[in-house]
Amino acid sequence: MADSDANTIVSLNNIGKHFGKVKALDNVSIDIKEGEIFALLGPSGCGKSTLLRIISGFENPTEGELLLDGKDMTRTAPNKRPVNMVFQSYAVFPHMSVADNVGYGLKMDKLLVDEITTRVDTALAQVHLDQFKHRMPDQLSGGQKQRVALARALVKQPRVLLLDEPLSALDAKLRDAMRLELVKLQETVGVTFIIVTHDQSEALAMADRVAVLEAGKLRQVDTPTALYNHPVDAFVADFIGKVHTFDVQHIERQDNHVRVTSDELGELTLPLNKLPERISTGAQVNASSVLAFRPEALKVNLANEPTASTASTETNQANEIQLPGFLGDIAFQGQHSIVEITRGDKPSVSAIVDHSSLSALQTQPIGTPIVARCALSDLMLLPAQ
Amino acid sequence: MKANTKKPFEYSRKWSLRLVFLTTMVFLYAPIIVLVVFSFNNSRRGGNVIWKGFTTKYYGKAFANEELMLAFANSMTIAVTSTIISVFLGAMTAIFLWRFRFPFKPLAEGLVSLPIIIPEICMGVSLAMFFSSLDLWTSGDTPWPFNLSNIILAHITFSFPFAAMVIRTRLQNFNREMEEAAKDLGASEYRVFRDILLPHMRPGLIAAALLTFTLSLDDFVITFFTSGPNTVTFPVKIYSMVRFSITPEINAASTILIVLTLLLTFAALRYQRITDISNDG
Amino acid sequence: MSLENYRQQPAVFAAFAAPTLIWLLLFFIAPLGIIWLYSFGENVSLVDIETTWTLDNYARIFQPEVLVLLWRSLWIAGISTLVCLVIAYPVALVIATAHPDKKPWLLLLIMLPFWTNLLIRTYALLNILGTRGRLNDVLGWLWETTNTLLTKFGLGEFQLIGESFTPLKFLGTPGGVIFGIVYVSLPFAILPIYSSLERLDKSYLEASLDLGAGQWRTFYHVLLPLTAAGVVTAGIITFIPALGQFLTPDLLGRGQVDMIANVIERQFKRANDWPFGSALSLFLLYITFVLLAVRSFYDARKAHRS
Ligand SMILES: Nc1ncnc2c1ncn2[C@@H]1O[C@H](COP(=O)(O)OP(=O)(O)O)[C@@H](O)[C@H]1O
Ligand SMILES: [Mg+2]
Repeated sequence: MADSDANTIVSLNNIGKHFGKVKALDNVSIDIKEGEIFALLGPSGCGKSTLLRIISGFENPTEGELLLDGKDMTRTAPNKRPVNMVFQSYAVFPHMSVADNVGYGLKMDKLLVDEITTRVDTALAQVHLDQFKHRMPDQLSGGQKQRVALARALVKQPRVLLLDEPLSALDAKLRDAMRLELVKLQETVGVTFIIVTHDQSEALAMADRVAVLEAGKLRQVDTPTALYNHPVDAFVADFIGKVHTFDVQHIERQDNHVRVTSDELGELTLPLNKLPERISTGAQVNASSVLAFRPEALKVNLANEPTASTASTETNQANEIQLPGFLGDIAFQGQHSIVEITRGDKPSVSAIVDHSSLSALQTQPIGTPIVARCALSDLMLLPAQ
Repeated sequence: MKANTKKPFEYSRKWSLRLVFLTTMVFLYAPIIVLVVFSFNNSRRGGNVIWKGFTTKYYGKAFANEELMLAFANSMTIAVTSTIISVFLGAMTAIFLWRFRFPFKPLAEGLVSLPIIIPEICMGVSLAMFFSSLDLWTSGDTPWPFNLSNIILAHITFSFPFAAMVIRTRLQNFNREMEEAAKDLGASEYRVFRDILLPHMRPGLIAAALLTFTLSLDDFVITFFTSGPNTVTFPVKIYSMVRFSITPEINAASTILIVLTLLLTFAALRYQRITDISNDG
Repeated sequence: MSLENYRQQPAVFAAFAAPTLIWLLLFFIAPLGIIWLYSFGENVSLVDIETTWTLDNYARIFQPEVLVLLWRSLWIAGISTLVCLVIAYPVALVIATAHPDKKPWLLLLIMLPFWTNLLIRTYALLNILGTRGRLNDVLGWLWETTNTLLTKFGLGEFQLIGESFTPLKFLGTPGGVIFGIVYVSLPFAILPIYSSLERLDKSYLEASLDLGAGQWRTFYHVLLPLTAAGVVTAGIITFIPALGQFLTPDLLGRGQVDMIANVIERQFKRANDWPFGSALSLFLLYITFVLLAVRSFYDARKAHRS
């Protein structure tokens, strides 16, 4: 695991990349620390692979510089960099046996045959492929091919291992097992992993830190918990987990809080220190923003149940907001259930509810009036874009 | 696109269409079968008219015919040499067309496929004039096999574009990540070519070799124009025999070539699916 | 992955491209250039030709004898192509709709004779098409059978199909030459039609059959228009070699059904009139180019429409 004061191993400074008129990357700066699992996350086409290929040397950036271990390697050839890559298609050489595939990089380094053999054996043991040494790639499953690709890259003892969508070609069950295994493998070998993925659950589950990219721009770099709890904008909030958003009409900054006016939620006062930088510093005040909360922040009660206030007012001046509505579908999820709250012609919202609160709702027919409440402290004020 | 297997069109089940197909097959194969059968006909003259009993003596006669055997040796030498050079040249062509983006690329592609398209007689005549006007005609006393060089040059010219086509088809499904993976592991451009690209191309190279070999053996028109009186190939020799008189010996010689072609075709099938060939048509 | 720009690796690009381009320049373009020069030349002695930029050789193409020859070549090639297309379409249809496992084998059946030497295939026909050849045997047998049947039905005395069977003459007639050209070029016609049928979105046909159109109407109004491009390609790909056929008219035509290539050959091998032979060869080449241009125009228009 990475500790916070570890050395920076990869330093991307103001990287930009154009493909003709397409701007694949725009002024991206990231520092990646030694020994961490770092994820590059974003929707398809946002430039993740391009960034990875710049680190591996298969693309040259149009602007900016790349430091590996403090040395400028922006234009160093791919075969001269201390990084190795696991390709999206695995790119296992079809005409070489598993052992020859894994030993290929060592052969290129002109190591002695004996040393190649021992290192190949160790690497294959690490990925549990010792039994498959003499197999040809067409006799392997997809998951096994991926292990070959992993061993082939790790055997070179790179400073950084790059993985492009490593789990996307596997079936769902294998994918979950492989997530765990990759994390364990990284702990054993201690090499820095940079993983590209478009699947937020994958990034959150595996990475120590995650960079969220959108349309070639870096949105946020943070730990999974920080990304989830303190997204810098509505895009990140929506991309990392589910979120309900409400348009904001007016923001007014005061000494240590902001006053927010929303057609739906009324007038609210939020403390400054909990807001993203762009809002708390005032950079965003006049631009469009949204109020947002996650489904698990909602608490659901029957409308006639006695609560702190009556359902007639939407906003409680004290410390919570209330959304009146009607009971919709309930989806059982095991540990918890997802309750849909329909609100007439307004978009419905969903709440994540545990077993104890569920029992009261379960006996009610669909359409029963209910109230959903969200604590002000769980409410996020975010720049819309 | 793959055919819809669940709901095949009834056309192939219609007996009328099946009859057309069957008749076509008879039309295509009957003449060749008759030719082969009559190579065993025990008749001296006009051997293709009346069946007079079984014999293999015309094969003996064909093999004893020195001119015919020299022509056969010539054909083989030409085919082997032109195949080697055609595959080499075709591979280079395929690689640069597959790999690079460059100005006037459509022009280059058109130029490469032109020898496939233009009428054989134009190519034969122009090559004949080219050799004669440059005094490149191999004279009667050039030692064997150098007296075949004109024909070999001609054969390479019409067959390497076919080789390039086959090899390029193979290259088209090369995964460029393989190349990047090798570079990533420390391979130089040359090592990538030797260790990764060449092994991938191999089935294409073999298929191309078999194709160009067959093309070279089969050619009559271009060889007819570029051959001299002393450099006769098997088909050209058979042609002059046919013009002289028709004997079962010609059938026997033809059968030898048919069998050779059949063997080559089946060898080619091991390396290339027939559907690939049909897509090039 | 995208193509590399040649400027990134100019040396590698040059190393791979140069041999091909030099070869084509030397052994393809230069030879064509030479007959192009010859076509504007005159014989000054038995073997010397001087390029005088005369247009006489081209003018001779439009003399009546040559025009007759051109016209004959065109209609023989044209009819052969038509016959090929008429046979090729149903054959291609059978292959394209056959079970997927059978398809490669059916295709192989079509291709196999095509790999056999052209001369040998033509020679094989020579054995078949003679007055006492196998085709006349078959026709004679058909006549006998029909005659016997007619007699059985009491129609014997009317001699509806002639008094006796007279063997048909194929060798030395246009019919024989057309038979030969169809025989050697059929695969050229089948393969493009087959691949256009393969590429067809089969749901159109299902829709048509579904809407109650019969198989024949579906064929006429849906299948044929949708595969028209394949038929055009097949036609051109068959017509070009057919027009330049040398062996078939030479062996099966017996010097009585000459086509362009035979006359070209005579200029070089016997008449020794290279300038005229060159002009005729180039004329054949120009016809080829026109046909290819027609095809790409057709393709472009089709692409433009969709
Ligand atoms: N070699 C290339 N040439 C042109 N455009 C490219 C190339 N590689 C990537 N792009 C473009 O750059 C953008 C980012 O691509 P990529 O990094 O592959 O996205 P991701 O991996 O996040 O899905 C896309 O719009 C893509 O079309
Ligand atoms: Mg990608």
